[in-house]
Amino acid sequence: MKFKTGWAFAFMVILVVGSVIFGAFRGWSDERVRVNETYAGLESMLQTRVESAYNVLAVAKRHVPETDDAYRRVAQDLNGLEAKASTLAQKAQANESLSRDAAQLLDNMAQLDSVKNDSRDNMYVTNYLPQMLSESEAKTAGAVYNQAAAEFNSRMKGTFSGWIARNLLGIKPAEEFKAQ
Amino acid sequence: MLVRKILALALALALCLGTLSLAQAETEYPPRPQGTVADLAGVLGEKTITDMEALSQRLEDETKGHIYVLTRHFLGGMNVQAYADKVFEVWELTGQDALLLMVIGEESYALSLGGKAKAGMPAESQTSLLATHFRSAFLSRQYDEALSDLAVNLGQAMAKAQGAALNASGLFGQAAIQSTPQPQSVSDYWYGMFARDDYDAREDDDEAFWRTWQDEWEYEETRINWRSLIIWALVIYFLFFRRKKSRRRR
Repeated sequence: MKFKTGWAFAFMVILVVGSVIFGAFRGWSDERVRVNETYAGLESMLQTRVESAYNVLAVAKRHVPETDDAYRRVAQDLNGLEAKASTLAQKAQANESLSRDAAQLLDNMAQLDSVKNDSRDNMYVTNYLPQMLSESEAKTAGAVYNQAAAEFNSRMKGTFSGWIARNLLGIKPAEEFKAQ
Repeated sequence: MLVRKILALALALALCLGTLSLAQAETEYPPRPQGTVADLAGVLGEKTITDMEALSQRLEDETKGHIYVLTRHFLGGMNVQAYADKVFEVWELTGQDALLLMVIGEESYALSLGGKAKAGMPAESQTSLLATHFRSAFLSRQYDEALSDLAVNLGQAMAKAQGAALNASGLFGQAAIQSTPQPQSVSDYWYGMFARDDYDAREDDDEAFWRTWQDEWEYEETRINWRSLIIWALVIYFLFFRRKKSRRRR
């Protein structure tokens, strides 16, 4: 009788552990898929950053040489954002640098006589492009993916089922859009 | 049960991606305008837009084709011709239509034609048309003038390719902007090339000057003809007759 009870208890424990593991796997996998679905939104927001950088360079080309330091830095940030091999952290770094470098380039250009004497380009440099840059920056920062990935990771770290999923089931935390 | 969930997830994902790509296309390519001009950069005058609509309507009456115009400040790194061709496709324009894209901040432009219009106007003709009737005014930021000049000439070329004629009178201050006549003969072509500097250097609206200038030119042309006749006569004489004479002497 004792033997049968022991087996039954062991069987019950196995079932409970199995269902916990299966539940953790299913729950965290589904959630990870949902986080990944929002990535396309971030990509299209990043595209607005790429476009803004191209537009800044299109105007800058008329007033500063391509060897200009600020021009080169913006071109470099643009490459970082566009490179397919870049990780999300590298893209986030390029995105942050773009805000700083493009603002610097536009400030430098605003001081130039060639820009001051050109009503159209002056409007682009002092008004249109800064607005485009700040809008695209805000859109990128507010992308749903950033919030979803951060929440997913924080919950995964703070729960037992998350610990199981991470350490036993190989479900990796979501890559966050954050500069290192 | 699991299969059903996977299918549901796949369906949700497909719908989500579909919605995203549609939203992206709407952001990237503006909707087709009610008329024929989508001046998103706000660089065209009202009169130009009205005349453009009227010209396009006349072209439609003659050929069923339209000339559409899109202006934008920037394309965010996209190739201008590829963008124009894509807009042509997104707007579902027909084979007889033409689309002119003006990108103000990038100082670039492109012309996209439907299949039938393209057949009557090969790539070289399009390039030549843009170079002659658009480029210069566009680069000097006279957008209304650039569009007017090109639209009239493009419309007439499109109509001509289909055996029709486009009357542009009364549009775009047509007294000032006439389509450039094709050279009638080789001498007209040379005249156009060499007389240009002289023409540009003087006042072109002075009728008296024109009359004097034309008289001078006709006189000059006659004199040139006589002179060339004499020269040719002397050349022939020295080449043939003089040699014959010397042979006879021997």
